[in-house]
Amino acid sequence: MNRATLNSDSKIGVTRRQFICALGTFSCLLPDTVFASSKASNETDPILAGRPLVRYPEKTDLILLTSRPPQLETPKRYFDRAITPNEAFFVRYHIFPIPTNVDLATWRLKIGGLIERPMELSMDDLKQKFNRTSMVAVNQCSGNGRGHLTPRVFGGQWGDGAMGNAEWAGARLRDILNQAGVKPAGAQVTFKGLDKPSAPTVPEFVKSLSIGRVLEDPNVIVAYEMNGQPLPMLNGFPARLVVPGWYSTYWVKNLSEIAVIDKQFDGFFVKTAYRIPDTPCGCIEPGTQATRTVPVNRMVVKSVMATPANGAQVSLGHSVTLNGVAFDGGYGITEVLASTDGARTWQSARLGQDLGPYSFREWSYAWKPARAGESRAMVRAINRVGESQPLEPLWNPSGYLLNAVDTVDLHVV
Amino acid sequence: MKPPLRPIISGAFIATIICALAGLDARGQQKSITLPDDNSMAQLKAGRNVEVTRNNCVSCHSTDYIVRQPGSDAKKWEGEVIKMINVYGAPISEADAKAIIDYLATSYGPEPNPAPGVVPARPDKKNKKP
Repeated sequence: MNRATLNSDSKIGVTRRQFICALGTFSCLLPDTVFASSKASNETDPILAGRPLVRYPEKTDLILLTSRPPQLETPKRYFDRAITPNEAFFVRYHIFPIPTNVDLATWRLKIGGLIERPMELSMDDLKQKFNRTSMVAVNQCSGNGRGHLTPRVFGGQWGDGAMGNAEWAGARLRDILNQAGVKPAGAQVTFKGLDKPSAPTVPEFVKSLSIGRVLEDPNVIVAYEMNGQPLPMLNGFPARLVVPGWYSTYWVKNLSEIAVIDKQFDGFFVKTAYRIPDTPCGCIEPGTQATRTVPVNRMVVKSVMATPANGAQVSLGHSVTLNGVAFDGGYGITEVLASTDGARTWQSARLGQDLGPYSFREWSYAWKPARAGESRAMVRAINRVGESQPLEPLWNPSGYLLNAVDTVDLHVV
Repeated sequence: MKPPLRPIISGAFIATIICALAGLDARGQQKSITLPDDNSMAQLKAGRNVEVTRNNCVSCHSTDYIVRQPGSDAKKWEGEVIKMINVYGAPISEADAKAIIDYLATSYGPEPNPAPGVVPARPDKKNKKP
């Protein structure tokens, strides 16, 4: 498959290697291409029309949503397989400046608050003092797909690419906290990273989880590896929190402080932001306000069709494979249905390898178009407890939890 | 009747080179990156009060945070400006806030008809199965 290719029409008259070597600071040990030329992405999602492709540090060409703080979206074609490569993994920060330089000789993960034995863990401590565990889990922005919602809402206008799936490895958070010894009054745990507010009035990006969740769930980990490599800086080097099954707002990056507190954390990004209506669907009538809200939490069932791309031509009478990934918040996907007649009829898709309940599950469906003209292809996933996806988006004021079935329009010729 | 399918036109144009550097020492003990500049292709549209808008906003975030938003009326934009002041502590004077809201409502006002960039409506309601 043809992945993103670097446009080699460099505007400057010097090769990449010469430029890198001339800087002095970085020796010529960078094998990766670090230059990017800005060009419009050829994504076929209308909401992404005109957005540039950019190549950020340790990243391949990604779709630029915002520069500062950075938000970079993964092109949809990467969701034709379960694992998202690190260099294609999306990026989202809330405040700026973000960390750009971390030295493991001095970086420490501070464990404090209502605990018996405060600790400052180095990376060596993390790797040597605690058992290493790993799992494959989807990391998805709560607002993935927001650009498709109607009526539209303010916020990051993502297409489908604010998500990715990786194997995460690290130390169990509960092992760390048990070694630190949580005091009886401990009720919640807060997580802070190295990103900083630009002014004292800007809220810090701090998230929290209940102590019960953290001590009982062996899958909440402090990850220092992503697909077998150290984390890219933009995805949380040197360590990030991994909260499988929950939206990525909790997956605090570039971790620096973990603190146990005796009350409900009331920071902005928990008390005010990242909340959904307290209704069964987390949705309300479009254009209205919720009377009661709860924090965003477990991911809803979702699936995407990575190929063919929206607007593609397919051949009459020839088999074409529709494929993509499906996932949910941890029950596991048991069925994926595909339609090629605009939701009139549905057929079972074939499921790929099961990499665990928190992972993307590949799906594919072989279709032989029998009728020339326009065809609307769709995909819909169902999980172990029968939860599925609506045909129309379910609205809430922030554009969270969006999981209407993915729709791809194809020309049969 | 199904809504018309939109032709997908992809334009490829080369803009400024973005210089994105990453450095890693031999043992992976230190990581250092350099971020590119703000997206030069996400400039605010020309319009009345564009300068006061730019001056107040870009100290904290790039302009693509503004230009990517759905076009909205003054009431909705006012909500956003008030959020910047009350939640994020943006030091925007009352006079400037009025000017910014005026600019946004005028230059990034509501779209009367769905623009080509808007996703087509979902399938016919009568086909809503299973």
